[in-house]
Amino acid sequence: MKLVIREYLASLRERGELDAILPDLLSEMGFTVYSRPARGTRQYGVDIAAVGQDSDGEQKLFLFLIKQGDLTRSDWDGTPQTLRPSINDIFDVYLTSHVPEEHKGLKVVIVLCFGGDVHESIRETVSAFTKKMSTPRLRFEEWNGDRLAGLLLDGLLREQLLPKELRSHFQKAVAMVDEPDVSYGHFASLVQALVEGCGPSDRERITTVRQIYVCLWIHFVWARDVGNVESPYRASELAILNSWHLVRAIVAEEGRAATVVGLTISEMVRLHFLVWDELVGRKILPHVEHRHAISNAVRSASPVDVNLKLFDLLGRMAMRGLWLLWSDGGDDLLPEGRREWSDPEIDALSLKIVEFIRNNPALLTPITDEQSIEIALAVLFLSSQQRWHPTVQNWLEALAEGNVFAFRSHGRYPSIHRAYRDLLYHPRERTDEYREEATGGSTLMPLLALWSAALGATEIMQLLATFKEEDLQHCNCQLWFPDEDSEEHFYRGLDRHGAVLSDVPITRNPEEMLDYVGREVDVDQHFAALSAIQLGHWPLIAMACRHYRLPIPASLWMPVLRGAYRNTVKRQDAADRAA
Amino acid sequence: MTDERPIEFEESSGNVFEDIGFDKSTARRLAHKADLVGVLHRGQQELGLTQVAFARLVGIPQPRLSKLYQGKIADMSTDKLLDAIDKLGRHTTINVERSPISGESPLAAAVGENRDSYSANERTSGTKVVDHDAIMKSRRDELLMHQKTGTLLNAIFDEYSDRSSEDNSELIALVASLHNDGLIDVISPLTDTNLERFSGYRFFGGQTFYCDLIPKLHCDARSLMRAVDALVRTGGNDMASNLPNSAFLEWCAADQKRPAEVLRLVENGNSLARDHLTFALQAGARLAAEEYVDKAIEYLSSSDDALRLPAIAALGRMKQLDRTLAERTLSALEAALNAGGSDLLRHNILVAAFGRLELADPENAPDIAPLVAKTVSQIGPQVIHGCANMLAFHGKRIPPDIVDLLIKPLEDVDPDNRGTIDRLDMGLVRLAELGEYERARRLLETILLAHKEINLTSFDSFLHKLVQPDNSALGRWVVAWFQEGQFRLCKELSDSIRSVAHKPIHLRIDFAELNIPTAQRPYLARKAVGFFFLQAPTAVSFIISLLRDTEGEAAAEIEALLLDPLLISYSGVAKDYLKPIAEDEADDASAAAKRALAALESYLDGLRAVGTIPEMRPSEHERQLERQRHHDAMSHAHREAQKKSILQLIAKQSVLLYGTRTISYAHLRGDAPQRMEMKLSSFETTFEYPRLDIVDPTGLQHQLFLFRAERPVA
Repeated sequence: MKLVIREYLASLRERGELDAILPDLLSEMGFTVYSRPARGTRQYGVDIAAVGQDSDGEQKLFLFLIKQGDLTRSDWDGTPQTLRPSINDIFDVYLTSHVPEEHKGLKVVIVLCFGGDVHESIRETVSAFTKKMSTPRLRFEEWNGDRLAGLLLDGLLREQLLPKELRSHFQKAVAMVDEPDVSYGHFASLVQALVEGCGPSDRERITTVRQIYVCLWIHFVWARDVGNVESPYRASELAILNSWHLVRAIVAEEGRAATVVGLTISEMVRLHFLVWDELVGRKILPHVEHRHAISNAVRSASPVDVNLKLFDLLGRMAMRGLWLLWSDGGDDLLPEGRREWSDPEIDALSLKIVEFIRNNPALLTPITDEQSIEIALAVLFLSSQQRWHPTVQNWLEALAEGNVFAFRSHGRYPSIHRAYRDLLYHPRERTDEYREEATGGSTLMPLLALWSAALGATEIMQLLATFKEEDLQHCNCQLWFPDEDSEEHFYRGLDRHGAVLSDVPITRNPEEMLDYVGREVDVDQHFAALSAIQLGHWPLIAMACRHYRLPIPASLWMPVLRGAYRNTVKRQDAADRAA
Repeated sequence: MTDERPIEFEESSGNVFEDIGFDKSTARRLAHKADLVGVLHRGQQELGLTQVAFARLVGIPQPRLSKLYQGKIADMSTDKLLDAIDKLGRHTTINVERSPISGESPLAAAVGENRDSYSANERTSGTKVVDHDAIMKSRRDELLMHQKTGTLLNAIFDEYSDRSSEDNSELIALVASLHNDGLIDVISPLTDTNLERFSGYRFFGGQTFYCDLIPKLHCDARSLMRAVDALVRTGGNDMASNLPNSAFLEWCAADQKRPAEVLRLVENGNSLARDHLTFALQAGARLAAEEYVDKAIEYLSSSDDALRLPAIAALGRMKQLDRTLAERTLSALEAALNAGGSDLLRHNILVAAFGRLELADPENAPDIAPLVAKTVSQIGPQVIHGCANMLAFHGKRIPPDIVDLLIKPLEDVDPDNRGTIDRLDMGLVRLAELGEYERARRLLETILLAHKEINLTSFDSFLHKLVQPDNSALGRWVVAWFQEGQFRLCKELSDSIRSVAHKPIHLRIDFAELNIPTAQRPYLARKAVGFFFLQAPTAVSFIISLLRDTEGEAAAEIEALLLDPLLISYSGVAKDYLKPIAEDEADDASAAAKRALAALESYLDGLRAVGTIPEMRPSEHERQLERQRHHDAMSHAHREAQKKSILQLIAKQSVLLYGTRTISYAHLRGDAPQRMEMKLSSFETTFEYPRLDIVDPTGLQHQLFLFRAERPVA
């Protein structure tokens, strides 16, 4: 176990990665961290400042200087980013003018912290220097990888908190990163056990969240080293959702605990983004403008594999887009549409998503109804920016046409089945009976129809309405809503919950469809009562739906859809007047 | 309950060569040889070898092989052919003694045999030199003993049947003389009940023995006809079942009293004699031509079909008639037609007319066109079958106006008459040999559009001809059907080419010569993509042919199709074919091919740039399930392909668990066992799975669907 953690510490490569877990570790060890690292910069030589008990029992001021990897000669001296000038900064500036008033009388410990070790070549130099600079009121300490690993093991991951069988899950999750399903399975067991074993106090909850966070970090760094971050990607969503489940009550109360929890949760989301960057940002996005390039990367002779992977990826991209909207949306409780968001990151990601869809035509033909989740996420993200409305409309048209063609030709039309094996053989029979059974319900149809209605795509509505009348009489077109059980189950995904609005009309009349669904959205109390909504974290709902495979509730996208519809009506009115 | 009504024709011997006038034993030999050539041809196609390579494999000089394929089989012995097939099948053992009349295909019979039969035969001939007279003496005693114990039939069917006619000639003479001397009776035991005991090749061996024996017997017509009847009936509906009738004919021709006796019996109302009337008339005509022609014509005017039909058959087959008699015959047939009659009667008259044509001296051939025209003016299943038959067997000799007369009724062929369809297939082959592809195409067009139950693959012999590598008719055919845009025709064509051709077909079509308007060309390109998508080389070569002679916007449109969906689906296949074209500056499609290859390269660069993304790979569990599904699908396809393979028939399968060579000891010619070592040669075919069917299956299907459904430009 210690070896795993040492390896992890030594593999941290970006500046800031070691900083990310240290504050949590220190907090867990009883330190009070009063200065956290601002990204990428040291504050007059100090990365982290904390007050805590030294080994002699005395309260001291600990100033941390963090360096990822080993400490070599080139890290020691020469440029402003090296250690020696930073130590000088501490003496010259930090200690004289930046120590908070209440800590001014405390003795000082300067901790040189490395993920790895001090190189032999520089060992003498460092010792001589620290010896020279030490005074009775100031001493130096070195925390190398070994020491940090020990601290993690004795602290956050100590046996009382992380019992043997959980360690075993954790170790297997790390060891099996090449087989993401297996690895993720172990990580999920670990998280489940941690959450279930967590005590009721705020303190215990915070500790558990920190444990999950540290484990996720270790998991990610190992996987990144192996070159396959699929398991940590899924694990990061799971970690965020479970952590929210643990701490939502603390967040609601506000106060100091809420701040601490908020910090850890946002650190965890940031880690999720890091995994996303590693996978989507680094490996996928550079290639989305090449035709079929990503489809081809699935390296399978089965179109089912390509289809499933692409939609999964689309969902991940759109999900990231939703987080960006959320962060730009300030205190908005729900996503909203704007003419534009003036955020280059949103613009760039939107363009990439559109290219991704355009160049990977499997994204025009879902094979399972549950892919309506990914379609809803992408439509929501793109439609919240007015400039993409025509693009979304084109996509909806292709989706509708592909669906109708595949159905009528007994091809790979969206099936209600979800299991890989079922999809692999779908359609198992080219009979009307099988087809009827495989299309008994649909969340995709109402989604396509409603958005087509909102965007004023009359022809698509026409097509879908005819399709429903002629071929899908047997199909229950439905939308999912949370119910009173949802808050308890949503973030952990253990049980079925929620309710579907059945028999959503698929007609040529936009008002009729919007009214039918809108009425339920307005009446429904459960959605608004969800903690993630109440506390202004709506992307968690989208993420939970994606992760646990539930349709995105209409209540989440309704505001954007209504906004789009208002625009359409305005445009049509203007056109009528002009005529 | 089944609704099958097989058509029966009393005059057919079941052997096509005999039908067209070869004598019995020649016909038997030829039929056998033609089958063997067919086996070689199919073997070559399955192995996908060139004629030169295949000739080397089977040890026949290539020019001779080529002649064999053209039907010139006379100067190649059956043994040589069997040798060649033996080489082809490697482990195959061919029992050269086995007569093809067993009813099974000769190869099917051969596969079931083992090497011991060679040595057994050798031992038999080895004993010949010992003491000839002693052997004959013991045979005589044996026969007399069998007569006494009532086991003559057993001797003939079980012991004497397993030898060729030449080996048996002395024995046959002995049996005949004993019978003629009244010491034994070989005729009376031939009853249905007795014959039932013998089955399969035992029966046919005995039957052959009798066929050689019957002409040599002295006996009364009535009992012989009964015996012949029993032999024919027991033989059933089989290739050789009518051979005893020929033997009966020979018997009649041996003595002029015999046909006269049969005719007397006929006039007395003997039904058995009526059944044998044809042969009696034929035999009689050999001895007294005019008398028997007139007899036959007399029967022709009867109102009784039981007399008329055999008379017609006889009139079509009587040999050595002089011009006057031949013309009298034709007029009589026409008169009979004018008097009206059944479908069967019309059919028989048709056959008889062609019989007269066949038997006539080529310079002095009668004009049968008016008679044929009159015959086919009223059609029924028999006449239609007759037309197919005549086209198949006389196609090469008959003038085009008569060909057209035969083709017209075939448009109404009944899909349930498999026999007729098979004959039509052979008829179409004749048309192909005459270069009459357009006639063939129009006929098939009508048939396919009228009958959903008939597939183009029903005409597989003809298709084999059509898809020969240098056959420019295929290209014209494809263009013609694409132009018409009938979904069924195009689909049948692409399906059947796929099932028949063992190698990808490259079309080279001269569109300048075909004079196709530019506006229609992109449409043709879309059809080619739509229908030949699974045969990429065919689609690509079609498009390249178009590009050789198309310019401007139409060319750009066609070129776009070349890249998408063809090249991006089949980067391997398409590249192999296109590269030489791009490099050949003299080729009019060179520039287009270059552009297409460059575009493909840039597309592939995009794919390569991604590298490996382990996160995108399906999980181990998913890969296993997919592998299983793939494996199941492939082994199913493999089994289906194996069922159709000719090699399966002629090659002995042996399973080698290890290694790449097999060593065995063969016992040949009674010598010491001979060591045979064989290195396994493997034949493999590669198949490129279309990329678009993986990354965009529904989109691809949709696109192909639209291309296929598109109606032609007005």
